[in-house]
Amino acid sequence: MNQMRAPAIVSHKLRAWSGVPALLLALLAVFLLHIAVGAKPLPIQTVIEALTGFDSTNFDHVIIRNLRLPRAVHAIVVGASLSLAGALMQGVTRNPLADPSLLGLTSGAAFAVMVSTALFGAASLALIPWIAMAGALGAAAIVYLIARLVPGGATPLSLTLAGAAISAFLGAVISVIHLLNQDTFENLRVWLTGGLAGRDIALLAYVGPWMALALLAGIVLAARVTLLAMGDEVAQGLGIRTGLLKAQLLAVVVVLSAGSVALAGPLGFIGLVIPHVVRLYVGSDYRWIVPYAALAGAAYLVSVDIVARIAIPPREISTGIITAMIGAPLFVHLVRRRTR
Amino acid sequence: MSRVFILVAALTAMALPALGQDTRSYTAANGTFEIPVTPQRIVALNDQIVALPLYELGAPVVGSAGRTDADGNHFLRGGMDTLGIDYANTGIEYVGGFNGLDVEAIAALQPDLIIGGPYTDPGVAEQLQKIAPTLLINNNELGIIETMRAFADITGKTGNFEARLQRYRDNVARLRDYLGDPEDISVGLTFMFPEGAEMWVYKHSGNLGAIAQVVTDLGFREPAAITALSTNETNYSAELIQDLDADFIFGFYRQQPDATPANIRAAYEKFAPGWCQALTACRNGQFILLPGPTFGPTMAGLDLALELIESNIAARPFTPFAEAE
Repeated sequence: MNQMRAPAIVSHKLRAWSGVPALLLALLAVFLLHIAVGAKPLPIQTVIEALTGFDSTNFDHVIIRNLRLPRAVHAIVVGASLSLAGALMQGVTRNPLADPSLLGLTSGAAFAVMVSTALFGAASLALIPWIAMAGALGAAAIVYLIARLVPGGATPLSLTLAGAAISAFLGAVISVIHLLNQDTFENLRVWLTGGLAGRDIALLAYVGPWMALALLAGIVLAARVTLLAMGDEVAQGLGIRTGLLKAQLLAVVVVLSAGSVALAGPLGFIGLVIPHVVRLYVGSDYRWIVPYAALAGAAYLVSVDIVARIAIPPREISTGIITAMIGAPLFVHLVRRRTR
Repeated sequence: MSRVFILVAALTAMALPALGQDTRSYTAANGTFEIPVTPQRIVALNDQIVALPLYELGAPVVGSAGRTDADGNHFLRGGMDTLGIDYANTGIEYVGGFNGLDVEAIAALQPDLIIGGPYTDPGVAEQLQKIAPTLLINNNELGIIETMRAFADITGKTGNFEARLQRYRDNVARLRDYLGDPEDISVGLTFMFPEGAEMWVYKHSGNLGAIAQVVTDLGFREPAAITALSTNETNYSAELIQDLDADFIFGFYRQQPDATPANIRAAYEKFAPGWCQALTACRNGQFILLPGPTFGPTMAGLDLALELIESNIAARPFTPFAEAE
C-alpha cells in the first residue's frame, strides 16, 4: 500500500513544483507584455531604452516608466493579494464561495474609505490603508458575529449569507452617501468600479511593505490551512491551535484585502475564481494552492489590465469591469465543471 | 386603501393652482401637455441645466434639484459663479438631487410647471404629472441654444432671450473677423476630474455647454484624433494624450475646494506625468483652464466663454502647432 502511495506523492510533488517555474515565466511574460503594449504602439527598441536609459523629456519613455510600469506593479500586488486572500478564506471557512468581496471585507474597506472621505475630506495617503483595514476588519467581525448568532453557528452557508447581506447593506449605504454628496464622490467614481489608472505610486510605498509581509505570512501559514480545511477537530488533533491560526489568517486576509482596496478600489471575482482554477492543477493541498493562487492571481490581473488598456482605444475600460465580465462566466464554468 | 385616497386627494389639491390659468399645448420630449401660458411657479429638476438658464431668463423658479456639499449644505451647481445665486439668496427651495428627487417637497411647492430632461427618471416624471405638467426637454439633442430657446418659449420670456442671443451672435461675427480664418486654428476640449484617474475629451459638437457652442460657432478646427472619435465625448487614454495636441487646448476648473486651477493641473500631471512637456500647446502656454460657467448652459456662460476665447486667442500672439507629417 505504502509502496503504491509513495510514487503518487512524488508524482504530485513533481507536478506541483514543475508548475511554479511555468507560472513565474507566465507572470514575467505578461508583465513584459503589459509594459510593451498599450493604447500607443511603441517600438520594442523604445521600450528597452525607456527601461535602460530613461529620458524624462521623452514622453514615450514616460509612458513606459511612469504609466505602464507602475500600473503593472500595482496589478501584480493587487492580483496576488486578492487571490491569496480568497484561497485562505476558502480554506479557513471550508466554503468554496468565500472571497474577500463575498464575505464583506472589500465592501467594508470601501465603505470606510468613503465615510472617512465624507467626514474628513480626502484622507491623506498614509491614512487610507489603515482606514481601509479598519473597515475590512469591522465588516469581517460583523459577518462573523451574525453567522455565529444564527442557529447552527458559523457554517459556510451562514457566513456566505451574512457576508452577502453585509456587502449588500454597505453597498447601499455607499450609494446613499454618494447620492447625498455627489460632488465629493464624483471623484471616487473610477476608484469605486475598481481601476488601476492614475493610481498613486506613493500609496504603494505605504501599503506595499505590509502587503508583502502578509503575502509571506499567508504562504508560511498555508500548510496549516490544509489541516484546518479538514475540520477544526482534525486540526486540533494534529496539534494546531485553531483559534490562534484563524486570528493570524484573518489578519493576513484583512491586510491583503484592505491594501488591495486602497490601491485599486473594490475589484471582484479574483479571490473567488483564481483559487478554483489553481485547484484544478494542484488539488486540495493549500501548501500549493496558496502560492499558486498568488502567482496566478498576479498574472491574471496583469493580463486583464492589458485588455482594459488596449481593447477599445483611445478609451480605457475600468479594470474592475473586465474582471467582473471575465470572472462571472469563468466562475459559472468552474462550478459546472465541478458539479459534473 | 385610505392612504392611497388621501395621497391622490393631496396631489389633486396640489394641482389646483394650475386650474383657472390660461393654458396652451406644448410638445416636449415626453409628449404633448397643456401648460400655463404664463407659468407662475416652476420647479426645475436639474440645477445647472434647467434652474440656471430659467433664472437667467427671469422665469419664476420656486424649486430646484441641487447638490449637497461635504458639510450637508445644499447648493445650486454653478449658481454662485455663473449668476451669483444659490438657495440662500433666492426664493428657490431644494427639492432633492436630480437623480434623487423629493416628490413630496415638489408637491408642497404647488408648482404649475415642472421641467426636467433626459436625466429625469421616467417613473418619477409620471408621478410628477399628477402635481403639474412635467416637461422633459432633451438638452442633449437640442444643444444649449435651442434648449434655452425652448425654456424661453415655455416661460414666455422670449424677448429677453432673443436680444441676448443676437448680441452673442454679433460678438461671434466680430471675433471671427479678428481671427481671420478660424478653420486654421485647432482647439481641443478636455475635462479632468480632480482625482486624476480619468480624463474626458469632447468633440466641438459634444455636450460641453457654452464652450462647445462657442468653438463651433467660431468655426475652429478639431484635432484629427477628436474628429475621429465615434462618440461626442469619451474618456481618453493617458498614453494618447499627444494625439490631442492643438494650437489651443482647454480644460476646466470649478469653484469647489477640490477643483481649483492648481488641483486640476496637478490632476493632469497625476493622470499623465510630463503631460505639459508632451503637449506643444502646454509648452507654449496655450493650454488654458477655463472657469466652470464656460461649460454651463447659460447666456452668461456663452458670453464668458466667448470673451475668454477672444482674449486668449484673438488678442495675443500665439505659437501655431505644427502637426507632424
